[in-house]
Order: sequence, then C-alpha cells, then structure tokens
Amino acid sequence: MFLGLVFPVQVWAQGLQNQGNIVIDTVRFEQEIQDLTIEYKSGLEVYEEKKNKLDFAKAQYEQLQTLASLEEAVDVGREFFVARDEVLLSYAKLLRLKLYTSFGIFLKTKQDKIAAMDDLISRLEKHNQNSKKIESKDDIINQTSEFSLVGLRLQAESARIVPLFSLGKLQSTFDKTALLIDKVDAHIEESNFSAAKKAEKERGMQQIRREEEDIKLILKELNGPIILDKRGGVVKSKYDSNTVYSGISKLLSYLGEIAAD
Amino acid sequence: MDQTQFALENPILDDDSSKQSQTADSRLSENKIHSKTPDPTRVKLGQGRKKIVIFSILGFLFFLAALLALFFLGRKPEENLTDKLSNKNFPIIKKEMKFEDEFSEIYSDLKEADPALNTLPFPPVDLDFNLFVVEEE
Repeated sequence: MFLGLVFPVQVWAQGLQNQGNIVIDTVRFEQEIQDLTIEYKSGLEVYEEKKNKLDFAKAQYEQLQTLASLEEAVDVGREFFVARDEVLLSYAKLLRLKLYTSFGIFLKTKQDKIAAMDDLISRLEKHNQNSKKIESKDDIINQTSEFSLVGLRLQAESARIVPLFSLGKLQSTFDKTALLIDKVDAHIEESNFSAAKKAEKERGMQQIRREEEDIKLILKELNGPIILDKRGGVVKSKYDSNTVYSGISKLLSYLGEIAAD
Repeated sequence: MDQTQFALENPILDDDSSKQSQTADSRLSENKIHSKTPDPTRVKLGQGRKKIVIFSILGFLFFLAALLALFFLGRKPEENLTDKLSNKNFPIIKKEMKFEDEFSEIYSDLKEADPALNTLPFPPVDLDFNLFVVEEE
C-alpha cells in the first residue's frame, strides 16, 4: 500500500525532468510496467492454485485409471496450461517493455532482443489460444510438446536480457562520469593552484584516467557478443554488473576528492 | 582444688578487683558532671573548625570549576558527525565543491543502476510438466 502511494509521485517526478513528448511516454510506460507487474503477480497465484489441483488430478488418474479421472485430468490440465501461458505472457511483455524503456543498451542488441521477444510473445499467445481449446488426452500431449521449445527459449532470452537492465543504466552513468572527468580535468588546468598542489591533482587525475579505462574495457566486454567455447557453451566473463557498479562508485569518490579543494 | 578453697588461699586478688571497680565508678560520676555543665570555651573552638572545613570545601570546588572552565575553553571545537561523513565518505555534499550538480545527478543515476534493484527473475513455473507419459512408437 505504501509503495502504491509513493510510486505515482515518483513517476510524476521523473516525468517532470524531461520535456515534450518524452514526459508523456515515460509516465505511460511506467504505468504499463506497474499494471503488468500486478497482472504477473496475480497470474502466479492462479498458476500455483492450478498446479496443486493438477498434481492431485494426475495422481488420482494414475491410481484409478478410469475415464472419469481421465476427463478430470484433461479439464484441470487445460486450466493449468492456460494459467502457465498467461504467467509467461505477462512476464514476457514485462521483460520486453523494460528492455524498450531501458537506456544505455547498444541499439543493435536492444533491437535484436526486442525482435526475439516479439516472436516469443506471439508464439505464447498462439499456444494460449490452442490451450483453451484442449478437449482430449491427445490435445494435452500435443500442447506439451509445442510448449517445451517456447518455454525454454523464453528462459534463455530472460537470462540474457535481465542483466542488460542494470548494464544499460551503468553504461549511461559511466558516460556521464566520463564527461565530468573531462570537465574536472579542464578545471584543474585553468585554476591557479600552486605548483605542488597542481602536481598532486594531476597525479590524482592520472589514477582516475586509469580506472576509467578499466571500466570502459569491462563494459565493452559485457556489452559485446556472447563468446562460445569449442563445445558451444557460453564463455562466462569474470566481470559482471557489480564490478562496473563498484568501479564507477570508486571513480566518483576519487573525482570528488579532486574537485573538493 | 575448688573455687572456694582457691579464694581463701589467695585473699589479695579479691581486694585488688574491688579497688578497680571503685575507681571506675568514680570516673563515671566525673563524666556525668562534665556532661551536665558544658564548657563555654570548648563550644567556641568547635564552631571555628566547622567554618574552616566549609570554607576549604568551597575553595576546593571553586578551584575545580575554574580548572574545568579552562579545560573546555582551551579546547578546539569538534567537528560534528555529519561534517565528518560528508568530508570522508560522501564527497557529493562536501562544502565548496565544484560541479556539485553534476555529481548529484550522477550519484542519483548510479543509485538507480544498482544491479540489486534491476532484476526480473524468471517465473517459478514448471516448464517440463508432463501430464501423460508419452509412449515411444
């Protein structure tokens, strides 16, 4: 309830920071993300309920092996498939919208991922439509095999997209920090510091430039294409978003010291 | 030898003890006379001692207060905790800082970019659920 009260204020404040049409878009997308989050959470509750019901129906059918228990299992199976598709659909839409509104992500990566999500959403919608029409054991078997590929693909895309959210924001923050480093550097050059003081500040700036270069390389590696090993597995980088986050934090701390005097 | 026989054979011991008790009685009666009639010279001496004690305590307290006052006046005023934090850990709010607005904006962005806040975990759904075991043909 508290979040519900705070959130609109936050959205409004963010909207005010921009100008023109961007204000309207930001507010609209934030509202859509909020609605989808609510839909996703309630969908998960329904899914849990259907899953428990299906586990019971499945056990009963396996034990009794009667036509009535088969009919019951198919009915509950249909409800389960629809509920699962709906949870995954709202999650996929949420993922797509968050990706679309995230800044600092390379345009090509963003476009590719959005296209992949659009394809997955349309496949899930189709599966959902077909799930609603389930009437027999064969329908259940067909829908199960059709779903397996879509579900696993969505899971794989999610694993690639989610880290991009913070990485995009970190890239944008780093770009702003790089501009500030240039400004502070120029300020030191223009200021009338004593020779000793100027030498001290220049040494500090050299250290800052080294740290900046390190973060730039890490970001390049993390934003770059996925590297595969000989067996086709993904080569995981030794760096992650946390490395960049703490790196920028350290850079700002150093820069603050230089700019303070 | 029983006690009666011992007393008969040593009469001197009995006499000494009776003398001692007599002198003790006479001292008691002298003390009673002194307490009934107080000596005026002795009272005057007691008041003087009290005054000396009171003045010496007051003097000591005054000396202590002067010492404390000198100690606190001579000390350098201590930096408060907020200043300490702003100077060491949070350069963004340090006084006389250049580019304060830029720093403020970047710190705000960095806070939003915290990886811990930007997660959207995959829903906990069963992707491999098989209601019916499919028999291979």
